[in-house]
Amino acid sequence: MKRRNFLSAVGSGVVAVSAGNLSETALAATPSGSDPVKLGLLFSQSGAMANNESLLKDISLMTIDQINAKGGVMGRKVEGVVVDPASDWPMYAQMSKQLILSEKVAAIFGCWTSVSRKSVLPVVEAQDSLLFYPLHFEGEEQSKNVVYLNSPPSSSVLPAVEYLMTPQGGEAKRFFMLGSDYVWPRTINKMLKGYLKTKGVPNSAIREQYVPFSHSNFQSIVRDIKAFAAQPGGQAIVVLTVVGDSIPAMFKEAINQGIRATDIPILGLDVVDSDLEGLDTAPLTGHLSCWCYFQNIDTPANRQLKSDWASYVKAKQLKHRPDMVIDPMVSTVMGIQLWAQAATKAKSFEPAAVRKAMAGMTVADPAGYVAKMDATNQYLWRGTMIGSINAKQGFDILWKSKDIVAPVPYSPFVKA
Amino acid sequence: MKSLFEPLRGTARWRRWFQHLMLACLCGPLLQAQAAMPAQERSSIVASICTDPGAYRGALDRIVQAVVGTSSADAAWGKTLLERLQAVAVICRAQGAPVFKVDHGVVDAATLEPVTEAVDELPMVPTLVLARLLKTSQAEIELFSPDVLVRRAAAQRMSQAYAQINEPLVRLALSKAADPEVIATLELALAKRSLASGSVEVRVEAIRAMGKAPSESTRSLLQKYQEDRPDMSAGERAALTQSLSQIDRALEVGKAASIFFSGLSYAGVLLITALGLSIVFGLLGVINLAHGEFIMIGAYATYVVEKWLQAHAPGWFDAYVFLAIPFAFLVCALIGIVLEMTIIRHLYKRPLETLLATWAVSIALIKLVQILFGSQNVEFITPSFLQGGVQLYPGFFVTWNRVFAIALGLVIFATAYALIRQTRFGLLIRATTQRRDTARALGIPAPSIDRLAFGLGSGLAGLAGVVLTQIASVNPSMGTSFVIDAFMVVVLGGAGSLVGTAVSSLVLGEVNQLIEPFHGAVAAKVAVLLLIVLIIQRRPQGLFALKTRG
Repeated sequence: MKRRNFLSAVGSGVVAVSAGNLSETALAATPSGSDPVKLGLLFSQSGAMANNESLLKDISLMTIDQINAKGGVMGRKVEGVVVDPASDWPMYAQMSKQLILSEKVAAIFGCWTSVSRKSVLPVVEAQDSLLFYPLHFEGEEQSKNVVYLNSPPSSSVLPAVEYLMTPQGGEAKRFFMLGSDYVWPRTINKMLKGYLKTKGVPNSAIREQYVPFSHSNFQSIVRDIKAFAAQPGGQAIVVLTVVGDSIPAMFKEAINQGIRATDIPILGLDVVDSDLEGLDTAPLTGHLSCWCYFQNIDTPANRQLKSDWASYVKAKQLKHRPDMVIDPMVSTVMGIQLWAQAATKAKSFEPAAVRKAMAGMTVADPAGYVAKMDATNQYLWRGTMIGSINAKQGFDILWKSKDIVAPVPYSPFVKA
Repeated sequence: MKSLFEPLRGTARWRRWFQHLMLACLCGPLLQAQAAMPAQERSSIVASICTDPGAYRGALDRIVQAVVGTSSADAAWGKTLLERLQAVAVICRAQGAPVFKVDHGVVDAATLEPVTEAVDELPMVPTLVLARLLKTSQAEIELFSPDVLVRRAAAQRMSQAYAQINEPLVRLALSKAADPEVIATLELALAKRSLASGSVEVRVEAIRAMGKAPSESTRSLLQKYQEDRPDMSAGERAALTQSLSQIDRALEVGKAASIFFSGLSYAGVLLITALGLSIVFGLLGVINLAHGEFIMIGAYATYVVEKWLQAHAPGWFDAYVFLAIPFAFLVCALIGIVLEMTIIRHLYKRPLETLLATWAVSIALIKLVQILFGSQNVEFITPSFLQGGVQLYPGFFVTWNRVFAIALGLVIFATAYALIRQTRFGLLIRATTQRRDTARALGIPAPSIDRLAFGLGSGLAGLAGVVLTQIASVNPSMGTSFVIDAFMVVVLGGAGSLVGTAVSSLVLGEVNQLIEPFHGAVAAKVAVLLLIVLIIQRRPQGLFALKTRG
């Protein structure tokens, strides 16, 4: 045989064989009925947000296990794809892209800080995917690619500040706003200042100060707070919007310098039980936080959730406290259940179909309410609670709303 | 401080006698032998706390009267009620009488009899308003405690909550008080109240008294007084001006002292974190990016010691910081020596590779600690002798943990300095650094000295970790926030010079804390960085440079 013919014969043979293989691999690439459907879990396990976000990752995996135990979604198992953006905001964007494009996840559950959500937002919008966001935040956003599982300021910050301004709450008249330096605290404070202005609070009664992330030296700031509170004009409170490591550092300094809730109450808007873990909270009793859920709520659903979590932590030998469940964890669980319900109703995992099916859908809230997804703006209607720190590194429920509250995405108090 | 009741001349003695008579009449009801309170009265007190926020004040006053009265049964009941309220253990039931939660079950709030039916409602959480009143009532009771420290603290609370206090009770406590501090504080509390009195002389006395007790709160009270009464008499105005200037002077001094102290404590932190790096970077020329992780390992070593003592020797628990010092030093020095033997030794003349290798080691160490201990913050119970602080001067409050951090930092620095300057080992290190070839020619084993010096630097970083457990939060990535600052200090001070490290950390600490109160933490950091850039441009070798040759 001539060399040219030989080569062309071999070449055609190779192409034929690989074409056969290609068609098989092409078939394998489209998800078949038995492949698991993937959900991206975009939670940091290192860096400043590690403490908080690793809880969300683990409870997501627990919820996915529970769904799979009941047969999965539409007969397919769910698989959680865990990535670690290491509390580095640009990494959230990069990893969300990786999750959507190479892992082909049906939806992403992730982010704690608003800066990480803002970093992921352009990615999910460009790829038309869905980000389920479990934290309360500053509002001023309404994207069809983000599902807001927790409250905007109208249903978290404002009720708490209103309560503190009533006679029962101590008639707060002066406000020291201390926050980490990024979008969430700045927007919250902007909205609060607008709200306080409508209540007639003068500018001299408001102080605003920002610290960098992971700032831990609060000596001079706590001194300033004491000086501010000693000035005439009425009861002063601290509206604390620092996050992550700064929270225990701030509380430690406040304890050491003798600030008690009976003198200067601190409303810690991002404080959860995990932030109190390293502290002796007896001197902190009475400081406040507001969320949609506190674990002291006594409902059958909450008891079940807490015992499931405790068993899960023990079974997987995780380094978390088995007796601690916080609002963002519950919001994440509700988000996954909502997604599963919506996908089942839509009979599809495509973001557009899931989004449409979700509108108006209800999902049970362990806090005792029936949460409802808004028909148009993709915000979840939740109840509101104000909690008071107790001596056991947890919260006692001081006040809770009778029913779920309508979320207001764009606050009328933020000047355009 | 002169007593408010100090007789002036003549009439004052009558006035005092009259006041004592008034006291007896007002407090008579408090002191006369009381029959035990009927059960209905107890139930009504508890019921009003459960249902009527407007009645808190009245109910608490009745409880305090019961506790300081003569019926011991009522006193015990009153104390229990106050304590249970503060412990969030009073359940106000929708149906049925309120109950207390106690260790072995539930008891009726009025009769203290056990209650047999199941109670599953959650206890009442005191609102801030009730919590404040409870604290004041607790302090009113503690004014009569046998322990003088408790009485002093209670008197402070009276002065703080002067608007809410039960005045006849405070006057009674004052008449019985013997401790000068308690007397002074209670008189200040009464002076604050008498600012609202009808009589001008009383008000002027009160203004003068407050001038002698300078603090932020007395200043704001006098300021409010000034604003509320534009038509005050000349006497009042003179006293007011004098008192305000006295207070202002005291507060300025206090504020300056505070800023200086914060700068000192920040400088202390910088010093101890940078000390080990100064030796490693300066004497060995090794850019050790894993330095922050040695600090972190030192902190975790302290955690191990704390947990071990908690489990096996609770009596020694308070000394865990001191016991952790040798332990952390040894652990970190050993890890440093191992690191030097395996990696650094091969990379001495290659700074870029050292940089990369130590960066990799730092990541590996962080992940290793994460696997072993988890990524959350670890709990450090502050030893009892380091809790709280003391008001050294009006406006100047120091916390014990920072004083301890500064003191320990200085001790560590002095020891390291003595080691380098006065021991043979230090001599060998200096010789190897400054004249390496000559030292080797004299028979000094340079590689071994390098290893031990690296171990020393790492051990010192571990000691920094021990000190930082009391003032910073501890988690696997804590080291990254200190290593940059440590490098800045070493570069500014001059690599290798311990004195340079001390001076530069003092300069940087004070500059940072001077700017922070006025422009914020971010601006302070920026200013410090700019300062370093400017100085390094002028003097690239740092403030105190070691002269080396090869």
